[in-house]
Amino acid sequence: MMARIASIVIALALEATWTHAAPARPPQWTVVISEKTGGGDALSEYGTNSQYYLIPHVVEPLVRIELLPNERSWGIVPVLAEKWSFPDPRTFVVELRRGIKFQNGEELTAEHVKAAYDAFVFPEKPGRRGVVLKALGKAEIAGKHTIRWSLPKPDLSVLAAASHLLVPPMARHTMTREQFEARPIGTGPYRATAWPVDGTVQLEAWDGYRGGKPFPEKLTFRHVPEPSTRVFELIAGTAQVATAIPIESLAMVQANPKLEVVSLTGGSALSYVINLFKATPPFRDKRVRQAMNYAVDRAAIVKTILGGRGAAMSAPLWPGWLGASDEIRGYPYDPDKARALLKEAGHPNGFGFRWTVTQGVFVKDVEVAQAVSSQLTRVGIKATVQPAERARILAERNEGEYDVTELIWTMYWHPAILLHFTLNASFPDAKLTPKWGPLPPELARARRLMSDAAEATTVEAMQRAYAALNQLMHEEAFWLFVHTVDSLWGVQKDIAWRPYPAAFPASDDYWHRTGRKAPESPTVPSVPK
Amino acid sequence: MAAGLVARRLVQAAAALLVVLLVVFACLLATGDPVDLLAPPEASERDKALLRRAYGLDQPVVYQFAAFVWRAARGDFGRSLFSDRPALRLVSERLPASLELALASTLIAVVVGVPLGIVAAMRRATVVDQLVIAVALLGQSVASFWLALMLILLFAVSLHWLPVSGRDGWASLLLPALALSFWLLALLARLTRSEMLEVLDQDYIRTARAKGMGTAAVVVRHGLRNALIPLVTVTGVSLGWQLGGAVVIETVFAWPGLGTTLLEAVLRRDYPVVLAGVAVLSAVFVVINLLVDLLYVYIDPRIRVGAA
Repeated sequence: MMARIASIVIALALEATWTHAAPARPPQWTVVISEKTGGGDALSEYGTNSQYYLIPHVVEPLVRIELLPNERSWGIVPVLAEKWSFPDPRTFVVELRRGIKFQNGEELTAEHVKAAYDAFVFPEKPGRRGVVLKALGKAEIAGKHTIRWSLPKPDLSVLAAASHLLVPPMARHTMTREQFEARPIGTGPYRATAWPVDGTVQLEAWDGYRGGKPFPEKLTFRHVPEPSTRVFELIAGTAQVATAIPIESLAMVQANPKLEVVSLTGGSALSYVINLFKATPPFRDKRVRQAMNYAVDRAAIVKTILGGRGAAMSAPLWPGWLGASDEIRGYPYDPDKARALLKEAGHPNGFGFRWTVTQGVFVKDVEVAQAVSSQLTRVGIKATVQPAERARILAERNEGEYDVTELIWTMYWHPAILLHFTLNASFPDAKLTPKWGPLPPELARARRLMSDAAEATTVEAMQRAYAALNQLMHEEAFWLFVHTVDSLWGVQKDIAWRPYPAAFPASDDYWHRTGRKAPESPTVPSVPK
Repeated sequence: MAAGLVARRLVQAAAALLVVLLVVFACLLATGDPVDLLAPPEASERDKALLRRAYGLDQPVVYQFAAFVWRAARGDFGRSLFSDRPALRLVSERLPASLELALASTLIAVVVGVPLGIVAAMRRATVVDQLVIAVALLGQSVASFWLALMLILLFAVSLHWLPVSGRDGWASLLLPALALSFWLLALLARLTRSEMLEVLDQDYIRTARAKGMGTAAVVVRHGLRNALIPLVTVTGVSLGWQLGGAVVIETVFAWPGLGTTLLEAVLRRDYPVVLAGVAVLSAVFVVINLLVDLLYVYIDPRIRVGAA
């Protein structure tokens, strides 16, 4: 009897000790986000980026773009797809996983995928996902779990496009969009319990998820646009995670013993596209563009304006991107060399240009522009910084009516969209050539490399083409390269959340979902060294 | 007579609304093509042309405006270019939150600001008067953004009495309403003080006092009533402004009101939502102005309805 009592006492003591050592993580998390939540239906567009990271908690895509399980690079990870192949350069075949159930009991088949694809690609009003997905061409059901696309042209980048193909059940197609977006149904780890358009989204872990029940049990997303308020929600303990923490609030979060700043390095980047076509300002001259790059002290900008939460960059692609290379040597801060190059190019007294930037759209956008402008002035280049509405900047870019214009882009692995945007859309030849002469030869070379990448028949060949393009854009100083900046979250320490390096990091414990241990450091590298 | 006034006001309002919509429409057009923002970066010219056709943006401008007015007259303001939801529904979904906030803040401003002004006027040149003047100065000079954050810091973060942000019951209304009310409260306190100072020197006040009336009765029945006209005017205008102009407070408190929705729509060139919002706000302004006019008549019977 005494022995039994003693064992109970010891067991209780052990349990108490264990509980003390590893306090339970709260099972309900509230995430305060900077953008509107939109609706829960991927087929309808809400023009809010949050749809890209909220909906996949419920409605899953065929594949996902993220850090590969080997943790050496980013790539395509299967989700609803089990495997894929290109039997010939114009045919893309996807085999679906067997036995996947939707939350309403339907079993996933190729029919679901085709119906979703057609709904995305052939609506009356083309949406954001549809524009990307149409590169896949015509979809056909090739078996209960096999779907085949006939591509309009050989294009391996359709692999990345498939990450936008979220698959709802057939029930979606008999429901009104209002019904579905208020209570979306998918195969994902969470079920939606409430999803008012642009309101507070409430999800609960789905017992039937094929990978086991996710953590936490409940996830709530609230739109809180003001960054200071998001920080206050954390400090008050009413939110577990706050997205897009401003640099100036980092100290406040770090000073609180219950909170931590969690970051994903290289989340996005800021540079400035130079209008290569123009002879006035003299941007057709490579030496001028290089001089501009040598004139910028990126390390100082990252340290003083970004609080060290970023990295200097000297090429469009950084680690994680297909085609990124560690071997590209950056443009060091060398104002003497910048002056020498300007002199050599016939501009010893510098020149002036007009420069449009957004205000408050990206982390410290105006502050960085002003710092760069002041550094350019030291070598004689006078930049007139013009803060402008994003719409105006886009319109100017479409018309080619800019000297230098801001470019902000986020980590996505596959650079086709980014490079198409900056090498084609930013240079409308039909409008620029009559004014400024034929296509600059370096731009023509860049476009050829982009075509090579698009026509590559293996991922390795595509990577080589993008690497060559990245190198070319660096050497020819296509842009005024500035910096990457980390994605920043404020987090309650007791939830021990870490972002998984992905194009749109999930808000639940995704590391747990992949069966791996999350890094202990609050700074998560995009690609571990 | 009152019915005549209402009818006349409604006709004037319809004409004004048409002009306002035309001006807003022209301004939106001047900012550029909404498809630049609507289409993703990788969209081809063909995709953009499809979008323009789908939203009728490929039609001549005059036709677009005429079609809009024709549809709007039947209550159809079109669909949001971004969410593809009915524009009027988007606006009307946000209106209750804006009304709630505007009414609560106006109520706080009136209930606190007017008595403060009366007390200051009655205690002219005393410490109380100076204090009220100081509060009024502070209320009109302090940035609403800063005040809102300080209120959150004190009542939500430090004391945990109220929620930080969001719209979830009366408790969540208090802080934004307080922050929004401060400017009007200060204005009303100053205005009431100056009006009361003028009124309290009038002969009829001395007469009322000489008749033996109590101070409260003199102040309220004879003093305040005669000082009310400018207060009602200011309060009415402010109430209208708060419905669509409380962008800062809505942003800080994540309050799902009309101001942020309209600002966002303007920045995105979401024509239908902007025009629906302007139409709704203009209509509310007209109603408020009408009520203010009718209140004038009630407050001061010397004002004839026809002249109001």
